[in-house]
Amino acid sequence: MRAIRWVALVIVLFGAFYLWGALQIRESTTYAAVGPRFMPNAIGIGIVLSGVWLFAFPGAPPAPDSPEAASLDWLSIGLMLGLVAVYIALFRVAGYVLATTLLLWGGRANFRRPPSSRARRRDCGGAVGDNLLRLFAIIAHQPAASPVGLLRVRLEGVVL
Amino acid sequence: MLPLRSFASLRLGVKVGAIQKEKDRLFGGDIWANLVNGFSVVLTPQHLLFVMLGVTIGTAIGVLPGIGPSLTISLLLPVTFGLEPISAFVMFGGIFYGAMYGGSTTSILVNTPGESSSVVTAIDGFQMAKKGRGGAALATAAIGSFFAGTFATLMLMLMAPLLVRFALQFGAPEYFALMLLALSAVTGLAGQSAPKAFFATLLGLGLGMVGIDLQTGQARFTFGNLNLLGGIDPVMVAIGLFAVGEVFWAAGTLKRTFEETVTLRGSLMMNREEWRRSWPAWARGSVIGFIIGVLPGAGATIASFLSYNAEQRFAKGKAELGQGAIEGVAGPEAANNASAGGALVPLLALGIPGSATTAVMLVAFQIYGLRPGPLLFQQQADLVWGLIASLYIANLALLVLNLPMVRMWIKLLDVPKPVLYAGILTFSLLGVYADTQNTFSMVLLLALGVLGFLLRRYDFPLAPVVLGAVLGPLIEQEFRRSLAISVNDYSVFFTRPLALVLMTLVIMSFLVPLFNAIWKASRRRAAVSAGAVGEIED
Repeated sequence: MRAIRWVALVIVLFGAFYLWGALQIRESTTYAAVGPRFMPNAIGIGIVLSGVWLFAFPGAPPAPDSPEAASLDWLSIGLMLGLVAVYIALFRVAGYVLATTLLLWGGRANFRRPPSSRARRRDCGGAVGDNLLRLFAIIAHQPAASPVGLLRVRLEGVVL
Repeated sequence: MLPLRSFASLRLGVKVGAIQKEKDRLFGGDIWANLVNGFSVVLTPQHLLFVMLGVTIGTAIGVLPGIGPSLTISLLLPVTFGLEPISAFVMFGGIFYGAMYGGSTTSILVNTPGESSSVVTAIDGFQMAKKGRGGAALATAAIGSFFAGTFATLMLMLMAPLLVRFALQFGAPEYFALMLLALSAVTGLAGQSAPKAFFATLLGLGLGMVGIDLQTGQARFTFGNLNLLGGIDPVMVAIGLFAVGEVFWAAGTLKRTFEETVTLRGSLMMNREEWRRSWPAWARGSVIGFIIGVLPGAGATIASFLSYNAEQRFAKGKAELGQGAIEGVAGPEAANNASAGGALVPLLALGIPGSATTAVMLVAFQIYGLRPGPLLFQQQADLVWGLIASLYIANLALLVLNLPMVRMWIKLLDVPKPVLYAGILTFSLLGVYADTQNTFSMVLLLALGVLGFLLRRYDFPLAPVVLGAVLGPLIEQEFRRSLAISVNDYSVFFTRPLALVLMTLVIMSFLVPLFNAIWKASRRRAAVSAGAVGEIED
């Protein structure tokens, strides 16, 4: 079976899950004809139908230059995914400065696999520099604060 | 002496005339005065700086493959919270127009389109560059973009106020039907596969349903998670799908891509023959691009392909198309720029976005507490006309910025991709964190990034997801409001003339791709069976 047909089946399952989620919405009998469940129900049915439609008419096989036919470096994708997950986990514990420097460094290194020792050093320096730019671009413009983290540094507005 | 009654009616007449004059002024009756007012708003050092910043960022992201205007505006939204609305919007306008300009440069010199709307430009542009006419190709793209951008802004200025007057007759059923039409058009026009576009739209609508239902206070799809009560921000959807998804895609494909760059040789001027062949293509491209831009869902990519198709029919050098004909660059480049101006017409006049970029701009309006549509022209005339005036300035700035500095823009491609993508990733994550102060939003962004990657892998269009997420809550609101007004009478969508026309168009736009798919499949089956019979006969 073609991969797109498997995708269609996943869509049907997702549609069924969405419909189940719609049924969990509490709806009082005193509501007007259209309550909070109406639109989610319609969308859920639509998703199931779109899955069935895609299964029945999957279209022509993918062209050699289409994304569907592209050969992917799954290890690199997995590493990137893991890196972001680690970043999110570390963000509150290690704090903005350490976690973001690690993400920038790791992200660059993943694209350069296997990195030379010079590239590794350059990436590390660049990551610290980039971090400062981000600090002023985002955190400094927000009436918000970053987590304190291991370095005990709190970035709050423009106040460090 | 006038009788008292006549005097009263005269006074009433004067009053009515004054009201009409005021109405004309607000809704575009005196377009040129409004434009002058717009220029007076935007011609300040601060706003000019933001226009220049916008066109510079726009050109840069246009040059860089994989980064589009919708992603850039989404990423910049958290940074612009502290700005005046006019400053933010003139910058966004500059980014939108600039991205269309910048996309052609890489198409012509690297054969790698910076934007999907410049894919078709690469066909003839790269061939011209190989023949040593890269300078002329860049010139026709830049001058054509200027011409088309100015034409589209002029049309926006003339059409939007007319549409505003029309839109004043709209009630909730008409708005519901119009939004449904926008979504159905997106489904019909986005991507190669109708079921994929249909699913993408529904996915977006589904994401828009998450959170508290504003009318009843019921939590929907939160599964007990308090962080989801506020819903999923459409800007986060755009960042997740376009930015994080793009980074994952780049991580999987970057080492396998090869870019052949052609060195820019010769002058950046066109010869007399190239001028003569370019201007009809610019004119055709401008008209096609603007019309397609106004239609929801069609967008710059379809505009550029339709323009190329028109050149294949009408261009003087149509026999050369595909081998380096200047019309193959001039027409599509004019079309994609004109479509950007066209896309702003429904956004500003009706509050209906037709593309991912305008959907993100709609969210930006909402963040500033503004609602695009007829009342925006009345209540925020300075903002609307300032934005329109800024588009004229942006166009001129882009011409000056692009053509003489093309060698500098090409240098942008030397920025190491690891630096670029790692930067986009952290900027995205920190952007959503700064907005919510909650690491859950980062988790959600990661999930949306994975979703964006998978959708891209299986060739699902991404723009309908963003449009659905933006329009979902609005559509539901108008739908329920219509039924509340009509006391639960569903015929309200078919008994009001305007709503009826719009609903008929909605039904047609759903049925046409469906029948088209069935017809194509049946023809394919017939062809296969005919082939099989032929083999047996042989």
